[in-house]
Amino acid sequence: MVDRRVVPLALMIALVVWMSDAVHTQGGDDPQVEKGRLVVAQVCTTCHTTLGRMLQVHKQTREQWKALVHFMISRGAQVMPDEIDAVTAFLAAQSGRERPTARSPGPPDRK
Amino acid sequence: MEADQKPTAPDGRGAVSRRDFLAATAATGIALGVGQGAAAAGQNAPAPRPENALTTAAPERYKGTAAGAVVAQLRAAGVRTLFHTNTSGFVPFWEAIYAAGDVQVINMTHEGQAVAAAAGYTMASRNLGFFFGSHVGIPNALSNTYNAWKDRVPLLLAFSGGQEEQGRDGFEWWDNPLGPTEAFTTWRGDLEAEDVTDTLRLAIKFAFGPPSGPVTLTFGAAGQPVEAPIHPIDLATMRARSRAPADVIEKVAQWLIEAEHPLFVVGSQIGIEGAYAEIVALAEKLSVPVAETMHSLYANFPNDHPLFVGELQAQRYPRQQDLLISFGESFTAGREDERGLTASVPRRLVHISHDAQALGRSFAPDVTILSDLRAAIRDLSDAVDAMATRDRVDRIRARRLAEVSALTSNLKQSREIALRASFDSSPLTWERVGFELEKALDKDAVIVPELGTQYYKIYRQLKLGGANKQRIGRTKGDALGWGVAAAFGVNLALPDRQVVALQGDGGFLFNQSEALWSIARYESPMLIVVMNNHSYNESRARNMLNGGTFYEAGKDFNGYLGDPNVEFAKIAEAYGLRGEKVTRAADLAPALQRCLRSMRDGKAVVLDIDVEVDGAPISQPTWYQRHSIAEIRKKRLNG
Repeated sequence: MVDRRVVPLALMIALVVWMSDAVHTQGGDDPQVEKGRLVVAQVCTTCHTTLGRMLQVHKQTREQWKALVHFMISRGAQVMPDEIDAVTAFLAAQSGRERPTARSPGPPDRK
Repeated sequence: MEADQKPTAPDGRGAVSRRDFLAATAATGIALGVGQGAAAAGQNAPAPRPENALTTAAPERYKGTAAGAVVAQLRAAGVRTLFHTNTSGFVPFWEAIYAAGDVQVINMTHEGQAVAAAAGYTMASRNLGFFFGSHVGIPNALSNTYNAWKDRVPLLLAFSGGQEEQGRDGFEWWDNPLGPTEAFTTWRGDLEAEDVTDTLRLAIKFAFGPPSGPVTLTFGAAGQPVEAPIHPIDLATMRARSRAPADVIEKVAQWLIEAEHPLFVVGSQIGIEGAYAEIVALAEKLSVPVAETMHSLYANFPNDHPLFVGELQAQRYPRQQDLLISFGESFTAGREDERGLTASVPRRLVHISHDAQALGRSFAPDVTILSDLRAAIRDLSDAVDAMATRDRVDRIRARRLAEVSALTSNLKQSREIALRASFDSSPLTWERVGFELEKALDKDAVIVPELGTQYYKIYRQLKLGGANKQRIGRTKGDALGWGVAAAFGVNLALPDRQVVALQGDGGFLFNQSEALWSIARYESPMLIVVMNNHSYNESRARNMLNGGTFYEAGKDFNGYLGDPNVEFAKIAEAYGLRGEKVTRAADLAPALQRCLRSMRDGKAVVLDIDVEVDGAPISQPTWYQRHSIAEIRKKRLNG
């Protein structure tokens, strides 16, 4: 059984430290990115404990990140209306290249 | 004694006349038609009596076959719907069912599906699910027996055969035949002729617990003559009752009054007891926000209520509470629940449960309260009233209601933005499907989902809980292959309600088409929605979450289901049901209207909807590891 008072604190500290570095190297001092960083630290890290790794792996365009933020809101993430663009900005600031889009794999391509 | 011998009167004088039967029934306190009444009852069924049932009359005596005694005892308990899968070992039981004349047997074509249907029936009716079938079908029955155990569903599962083949490696035999069910049952027993109804009574007691759950029984040929007591059994009061000491309730009430940021978490025991109105009233009294866990079995709180803040692990009002009270939620979903609790870091954590075995089992509460949920909620409410002035309660309520309502109103706006962002896209978004279902379905429809974690995108578009639609599932066991049959069982229990199974394409392919046979046979006018993303998207998203070489290569060995591209609508048509296929967002609303017309005409529909894949996209979404036996064969034939 975990100590419910210690684990989240350690995780949060690690993530906030990591995100602090990330934002300074890639997001500059953009207040929107900074706001997004704080929201992500509060909202996303409860479930996504490997958020740093995920952001490194899943580089996407700003548009793709926005779609993902919408998707996570529908799944229960408590991002407020005035935070959507900020969270998108922070996530996009971590990205450098575009990944393929696939809204549905659908049936096979071959005839 | 002959297998088809009629039951005798309580005094043993020959066949029972209707008058004698009525008199004897009245003497035992058994209400006629209890089975049908309970089967027709919704989740808002009357509350169990506040006291345990006490036997007020001597048991009726049954004289006939052991199988006949089982039927008589089940009928005395109000059980008149039995689930069965084909076997040849139950002739005396069939004779007794035939003689009874008012027992409905529901045939299913697979033991696992029959157990799921019995579970769905039981969860919706609060009656007792009874299955009988071959002991060789025990392995088939296991996955849904496991699901029923995780959901704490009272079931009796009776399998043919006794213990006579022990040690012989005999035909269709393994030693200790109920052994494989041991991990998923609250009790196991043998229905032997000498004490057949005593054993059955005990089995029912163990099924209702708490903890409630499946009981497995061996049930031999049962043609032996018996004279057995028929115990008066009231299923509504079978679950052992408990109530918290007043001083503990007062302590928690004090904390509740003083807390700045309390949070309620509502769990399955609210649904099991049907304590919906009570928990809403208590939450409203002090405007306490209410959360649920990710694996909540029922819609235990209206999700359109301004105090409902969604999932525990996601909730943000505030991130840390000074008091968290779990009402019947045991936090057994593992990592997700652990995250929810650890993120909340409540200064005080209270666990209320009617199941002593659940208290503090998966987390460490500061206070545990063993009590029926309904009683505990009422006791807490009364204690708050006694300890705080009305003016103080009103002030707390008003202040907190403004804060929580602002949060939930904002969240609603965000969900609306998310819904509208891809409203017209095709393949459809899950949100759009939920939106259209909410528009089309009856206000009191019953939703039986078996979806991955994307379920929330549909749930939050539907109005669930309270006076809204009811939700039963997803099973907390998560063993796929449950939902369609469970929804059929729900429809058996609630024939006047629209029942909708929400399935993924991957889940449907876990042996679920067999349930369509029973849905067609018994003319269950339900809707089966297949959310078809041509993928095991849940596992794909999880497998790809943190990258790796196979993610970089875009090669998902497991996830793609689109080749062969299964035509679910045609599967429905093969069973004589209606099938619908929707690929464009604009086509969903008219398709739903056609579905509803078919349901009104008494025919179930499988509605196959192409929906988006979510999660991180991969570069080769239709890739899979090719292997063709035909090509190997061709090469060999062609030299």
